[in-house]
This record gives sequence, C-alpha cells and structure tokens, in this order.
Amino acid sequence: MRVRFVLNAVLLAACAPALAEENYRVDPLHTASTFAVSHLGLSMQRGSFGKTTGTVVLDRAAKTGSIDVAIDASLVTSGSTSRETLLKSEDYFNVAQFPTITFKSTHLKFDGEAVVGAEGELTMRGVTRPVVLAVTDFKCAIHPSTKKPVCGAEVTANVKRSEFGMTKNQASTGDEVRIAIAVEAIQQ
Amino acid sequence: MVRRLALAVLTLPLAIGASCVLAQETYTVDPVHSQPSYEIRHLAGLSTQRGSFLKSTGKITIDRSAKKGTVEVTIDTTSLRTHSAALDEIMKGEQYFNIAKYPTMTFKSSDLIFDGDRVVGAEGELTMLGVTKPVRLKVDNFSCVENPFNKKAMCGAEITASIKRSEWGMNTGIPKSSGDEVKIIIPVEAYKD
Repeated sequence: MRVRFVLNAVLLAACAPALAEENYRVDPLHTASTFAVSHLGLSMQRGSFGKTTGTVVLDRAAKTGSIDVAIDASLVTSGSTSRETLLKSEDYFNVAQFPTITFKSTHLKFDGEAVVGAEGELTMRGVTRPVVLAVTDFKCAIHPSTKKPVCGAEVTANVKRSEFGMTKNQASTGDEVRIAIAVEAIQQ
Repeated sequence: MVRRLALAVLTLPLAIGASCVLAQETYTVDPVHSQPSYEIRHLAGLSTQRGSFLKSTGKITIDRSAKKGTVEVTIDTTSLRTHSAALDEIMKGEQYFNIAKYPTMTFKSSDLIFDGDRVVGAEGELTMLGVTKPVRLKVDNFSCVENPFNKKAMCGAEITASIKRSEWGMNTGIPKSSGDEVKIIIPVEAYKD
C-alpha cells in the first residue's frame, strides 16, 4: 500500500511538468472557416468550408504550443450553387482529389498568456506553403453549460491563391484571399 | 414661330420629365454576388459565429444629382446557412428566425445618404419576425464600373449595420449563450436596368 502510494507520488511528480501542457479539441459546431475575396474590385465575396476539426496544445508557462487542424473543403459554400460547383472543380479546390485542407504549426506566438499568432504550414490542393496566422480575442472561460474549460479566438490570415496553384479568373477575382476562422476549442 | 414656341412650351414639361427620369437610375441586385451575412458573439465573446442567406432580391434607385434614392431588399430566410447543418436547423427554428412563420425579411429605405455622388449610408426599416424597426446602414467602397465581361453598368459596395436582435423579439440565448448585438455584413453588386 505504502509502496503504491510512494510510486504514485513519484509518478505524479514526474508528470508535473506535463500538466502545464493543455490539450484542446476544436469544437466543430462553433468553429467556422471562411474566406473572402475581392470581385471586380467592387465587392468582397465570401464563402465557408465544411467541418473544421483538430487539436490545439498550449503550454502557457513555457509559451509554446501546437496546432493541427483539418478543414473539409469538399463542402465549400459560397453565394450560389453554380459558384460552389466551380469552387469544387479542378481549377479551384479540386475537392475530388484534395478533399481536405490542413494547417499545422508548432510555433505559437504569445503575448503574456494569450496566443496572438502562429507560424505554420497550410496545405491546399496538395501544395504546402508557410502561412502566418494572426490570433485576436484569445480568451478562455468555463463553458456555462458543460462546465469544461473552453478557449475561443478569431484567427485571420492572408494568402495568395496563386501560390497554391489556384490561378483562374485573376481578371475578375482577386489573388489575395482573406481567411477568417472563428474557433472554439474545449479542453480535454 | 408662335406655333414653334407653343410646341416648345408643350414639350418642355416632357423634356423636364424625361431629364428627371434619366437622373434616376434603377439597379437590380445581383443575388449571386450579394449575400447578406451576420456575425454574433458566442459565449460572452469567446468566438464570432457567422451565417448567411443564399437568396435575396432587391431594387435600388439612385439619383446622384438630387442625392436621393431608395432601397428595397427581400431576404429569403429559408436560405439561411452556417458552416453546420445542425446549427442551420437551430437558427431556422422558432427561437431564432422562425422561418416557418416568417420566410422573408425586408429592408426598405427612401433615405440614402450621399457624400458627393457616392452613397455612404441609408436609413430605413428592417422587418424581421414580423417586427419593423429603424436601422441605419453604413455603405463603404461604393463604386460603379462597366463589367469587363458582360459590359453592363454595375455598382458594388460593402454594407454594414449593427442591430440588437432583442428589438425584433429574438431573445433566445441572451446573454449567456450569444450576444444581443448582431453585425450585419452585405457585399452588394447591382446591375443597372
């Protein structure tokens, strides 16, 4: 009995540094990945993707962390069914071949305890490029209904679609795409 | 000469009438490039949740010399979409847009605000859930061009507004789950008739 107690204490002590690392799972119901692109210089056209899933690891004391998310591109929506068909086609997201967009980062930026950015790699249409995310409004709370710790933020980034080989219709539609992701993640 | 003068006098009102009509331009909203959307804060500001409406129709009249104009837009609330089918059902339900009873919402304005010959705002009335309340729209990036592909005259802009949904009786979830303040964002493109 005493041996087991001591063993537990030793194990707990050994695990203590790992406790600073918090694991969060992205809540797909309240996480939405959207994009906006200029049309004819006249208006910003927006769209959104299907489910966003993934994990976020934070170590606030060490100010390190990682992000690993997958976005379902096959359910891209935007304005009209004809445009959605176009966006799913080979010229754009080519969802038959590349149904998933991924973002991975092991380089989070902190300001105090708050995450304010991340440098990582975005893989879209099979092309991987470095992308810098800006994270605003990062905050954590206890979810009022589930009582679990939950963090939320607004994530934004600008990418040039041509860098991912998405070069069609540059005359009508801007190259620069603004990505906005509302994210909520629940601690595991 | 007298006859010609009489003719001129007779046609003068017609000419004035014609010029009045010419100064007023009518535009039809392009539904494919004019998707009304909203943003709302979730869980006391943890994240911003978004949704949009796939179908809307509308007419805009603009008289740039008189700096007047009108807007009349109808949004099909049954075309509401978010990123999640489960959330769509919640938002279409009785506690939110109640689409079974209120399949449309409308915005009407006969009070456009100009800066020079650019539209920069509109004061009007939003009818949602059967309730009509005044709303002020902000209009940014108003510009008009000839579409380089179909060669038609068109204007575009980004419209934003902030409303309190409780004023229309949409009270569910305030303030614990989601905020009262809703930001409305409408990119708009409209073709000259």
